[in-house]
Amino acid sequence: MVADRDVIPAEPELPRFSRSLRPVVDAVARKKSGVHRKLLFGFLFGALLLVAMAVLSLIVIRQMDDRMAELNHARVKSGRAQEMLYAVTAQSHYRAMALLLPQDAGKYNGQVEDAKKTFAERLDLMEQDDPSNRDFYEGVRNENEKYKESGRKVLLLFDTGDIQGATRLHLDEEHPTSHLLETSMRTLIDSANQDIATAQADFQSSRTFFTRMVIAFSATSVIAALLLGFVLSWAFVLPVRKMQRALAQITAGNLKQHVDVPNGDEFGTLASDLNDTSERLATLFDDQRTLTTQLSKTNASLVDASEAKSRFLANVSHELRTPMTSILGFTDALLAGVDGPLNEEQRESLRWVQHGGQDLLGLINEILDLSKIEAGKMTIEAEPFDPKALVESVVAQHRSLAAQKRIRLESTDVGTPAVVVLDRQRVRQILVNLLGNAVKFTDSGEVKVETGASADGRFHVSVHDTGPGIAPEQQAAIFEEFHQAVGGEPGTGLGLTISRRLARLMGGDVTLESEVGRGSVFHLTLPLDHRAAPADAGGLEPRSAGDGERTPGPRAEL
Amino acid sequence: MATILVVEDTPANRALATKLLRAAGHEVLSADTAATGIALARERLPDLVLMDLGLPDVDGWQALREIRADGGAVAGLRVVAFTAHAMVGDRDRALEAGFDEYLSKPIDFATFAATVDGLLP
Repeated sequence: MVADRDVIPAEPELPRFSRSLRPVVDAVARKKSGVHRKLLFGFLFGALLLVAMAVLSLIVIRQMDDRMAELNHARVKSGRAQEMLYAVTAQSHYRAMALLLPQDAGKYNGQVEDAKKTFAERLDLMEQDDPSNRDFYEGVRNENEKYKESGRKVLLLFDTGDIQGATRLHLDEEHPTSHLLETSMRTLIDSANQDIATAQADFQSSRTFFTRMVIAFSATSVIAALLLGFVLSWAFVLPVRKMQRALAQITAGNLKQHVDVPNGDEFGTLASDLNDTSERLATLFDDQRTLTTQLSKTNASLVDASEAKSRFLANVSHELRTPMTSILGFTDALLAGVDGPLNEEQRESLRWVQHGGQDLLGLINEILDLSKIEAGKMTIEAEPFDPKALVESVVAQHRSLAAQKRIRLESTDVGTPAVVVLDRQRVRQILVNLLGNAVKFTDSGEVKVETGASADGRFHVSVHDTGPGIAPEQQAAIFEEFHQAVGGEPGTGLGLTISRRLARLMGGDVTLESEVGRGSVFHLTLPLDHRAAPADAGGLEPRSAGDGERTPGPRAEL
Repeated sequence: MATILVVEDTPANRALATKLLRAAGHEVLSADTAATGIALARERLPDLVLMDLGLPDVDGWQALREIRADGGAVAGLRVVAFTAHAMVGDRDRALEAGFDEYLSKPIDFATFAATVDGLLP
């Protein structure tokens, strides 16, 4: 029986008609003995019943044989008595024939002698077979002797030729004696027939008795064997069903189960093992649930903390912008000569204030951007524009700084798409960051901007510099917040993080190739229309050391 | 030479805007709440209003609605949205709401001057 996974079987019980056997079943189950011993006992009991049945059958056969022998004996006795009666009447008959037909006397008297011999032989046999009637046979023997004697006398007279005297003697003496014998024989036949009748009746009653006995014994054996089989099988089936039910409960999630199995055999051990396992499972599950609850609480508080951080950063940076507005605004106003002319030293000092203020505002804006991205509140616009023109304007913006640092700034166009649908402001922000970094970190040599399309037809800009380069172990880290290349100029360290997050929000990416001492190449790859590309979620994402390796993009041998 | 009303609650920003506008030769009126700003606008009918969007009593959007809903000449005033909430799309939202122009803080001196000059008759 296969348990349905969703249905928990009812508490197992014996079939309704046999509930009264429960104490017996429990007793057999409780018996401290192995299952194989219990089964062996059952089979032995069955075998014993079979042997008893066989023995009983043998006894019955034997008894019936005896009855049959008695019956046969009575029949033989009756047959012999009949033969003896016939022999007696034959003697009388042939004697009379000899006396009537003296010329044939020899033949008839011979036949008389034959009959006599037959009678004597049968009498001996009868006496041997039936020794209890010795007296009766003795009487018959005496009568027969008298009969033989009278016969001899008749024969003597006959031999002398006195036929008449012989006839008289026969009629007077021999014939009445033969009558006596005939009467005795009839008595014997009657008695033998009586014996047959008795033996037959005996045989019948025995047969009925034994038939009933065999049927009764068979029925009892069958019932006993069935009962034993029933009790034994339920002693094993009940615990199995109970465990099955417990396992179904466990499968359904009710891990803590206690199976009450009284068995003193392997099923009992199995049930107690099941109970232990269930208890351990339940304990483990409770522990795990406690841990899970703790973890989800921790997780929820971490998420809360992260959201609070983003909110805090957003609020703080917003609050910082207001005073920055004043600082920069008044500085601009002073530099513009609103309050009158300034000397060169005052102008120089104010330029430092302006520089510091602009850096600080940049940092505030970046923190604001990042907190928006992390809070998932960064909205990405979609507007068609000419990407080549955008790149050119950003390059132009950096020409004066590059010239100041005496580094070359070049830009090339290799198959740039004519139009892209992206967030123009955000793309500009990324380009300003990449190009600004390149110019900032390059002290000699050149910065080269290549605008074009990637192998799979996406918009692609690469910014090559001849700066110090970034060591492989640093390459993933520079995309993390507040990371700054060792030995680099002071900066916010947020620009690359934001650039990459913005690019990913538009379905693209920012990747890096670099070699220490030779410079770096930053690749910006973006779809032609970000609305058609799957964007990376802007919220919290796991950061790993291999972050940089997952990102697609061109890769040069380093 | 024009009369310009600056409605701005942050004193430094108000002072800066006033300084820049005065330096450009304009007469400057200023208010630190929407209510006093609207009252002043009704009284003096300035050529231009610079309206901060984050005012303490009612915000700049609401203040603009009140100005536009006014039965008198005030309804036709030129109003510039002035805000630190420099978000992409804010400009479109502001123009859609009925502002004549949009200026984000911090004030870029050149942009500020150009925007103001462009709106004056």
